Amino acid sequence: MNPTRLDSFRLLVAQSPNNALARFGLANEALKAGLLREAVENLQAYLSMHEDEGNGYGRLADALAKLGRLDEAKAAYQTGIETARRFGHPGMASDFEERLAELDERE
Amino acid sequence: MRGEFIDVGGARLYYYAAGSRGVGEPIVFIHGFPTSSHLWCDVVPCMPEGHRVVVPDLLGYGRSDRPDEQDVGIKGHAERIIALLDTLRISYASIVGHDVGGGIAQYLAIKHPTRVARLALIDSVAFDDWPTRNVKLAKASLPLTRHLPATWILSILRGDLQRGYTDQDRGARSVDIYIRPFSAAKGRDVLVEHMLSLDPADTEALTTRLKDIVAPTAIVWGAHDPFLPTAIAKRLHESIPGSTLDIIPDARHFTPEEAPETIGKILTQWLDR
Repeated sequence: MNPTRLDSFRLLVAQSPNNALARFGLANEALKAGLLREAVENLQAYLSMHEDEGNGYGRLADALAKLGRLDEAKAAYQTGIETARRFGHPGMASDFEERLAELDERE
Repeated sequence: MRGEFIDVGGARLYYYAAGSRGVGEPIVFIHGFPTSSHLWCDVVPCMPEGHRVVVPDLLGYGRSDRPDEQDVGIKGHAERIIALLDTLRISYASIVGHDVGGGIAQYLAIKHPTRVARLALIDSVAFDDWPTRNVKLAKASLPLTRHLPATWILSILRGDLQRGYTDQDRGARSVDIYIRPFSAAKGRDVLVEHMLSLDPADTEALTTRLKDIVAPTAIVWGAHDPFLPTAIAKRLHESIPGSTLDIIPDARHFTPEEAPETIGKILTQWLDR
């Protein structure tokens, strides 16, 4: 856990809630600190305001899966797969397909 | 370490991999001009366990293919790194760049921020403060000199690169490795292409976006770098929020070769951030 970076990004997001990259940065610091709900909230905010190329959806899906919110995780992976393909990242799409299959097996 | 070739967008790139897959994000090491993956060979063993390590030769360097009209500027290399990551199924990685590789790393952190977990810039090009006066002169004279024998251009380059090493014996051995692919006429043409692509406008265009970098960033510099002075490091440190700055005493430009253990320690701390 790195409270300094986490606190810095919390402050930045409080000052500029529509700063997509600040939201992404805060989500990453929250993930490192194990603050999954805060990470999910900020990844969702980031994705609502930024045209992500796929990895943002993957990170959201990973966090949702860890929280046990499997249906939402699967939906995020699915969007990530479609987005990664659209932006020409087939390897990323395949990676998400595998993780999606793993979630299906867990159920 | 295990090396192999991989097809990326129709070009064959060489890379070597090390480490083991674990909980940590993969680490990608990017060399600069006119070096190769060899630059990192003593740093890679200093990396902590649990990280997959990927060390490519950029297109036209080391063992990778010669370019065939592909872009060998910062953007071209950066987009090929993204394609390499896609091929290796790496979605999110810590990126370490040296010299022009640092310019490529800056481009990745700014243009593909969700692919960059952390950013480390070691004796990196930045702003419009590069290339060196000698390289600018060499570029300016290329219309006259580009058809001279490869040995002529290489002798100039060899002398200039040697200045980047404190340990001249080590420098001589490494410079031999770096310039080998550029010997003979075809190699000389590739070298000329690389030199023509050294464009400070590529990094100058990123300057106003450095403040938007959200990845934890480490800036590491040789105290006596004769090509890229420490003033650039300090300016990068002021421009990138939350970045750390380490100046390594007794090191010149090729810091990853001259102080691999110190770099290893700094990068290990950086991986914990």
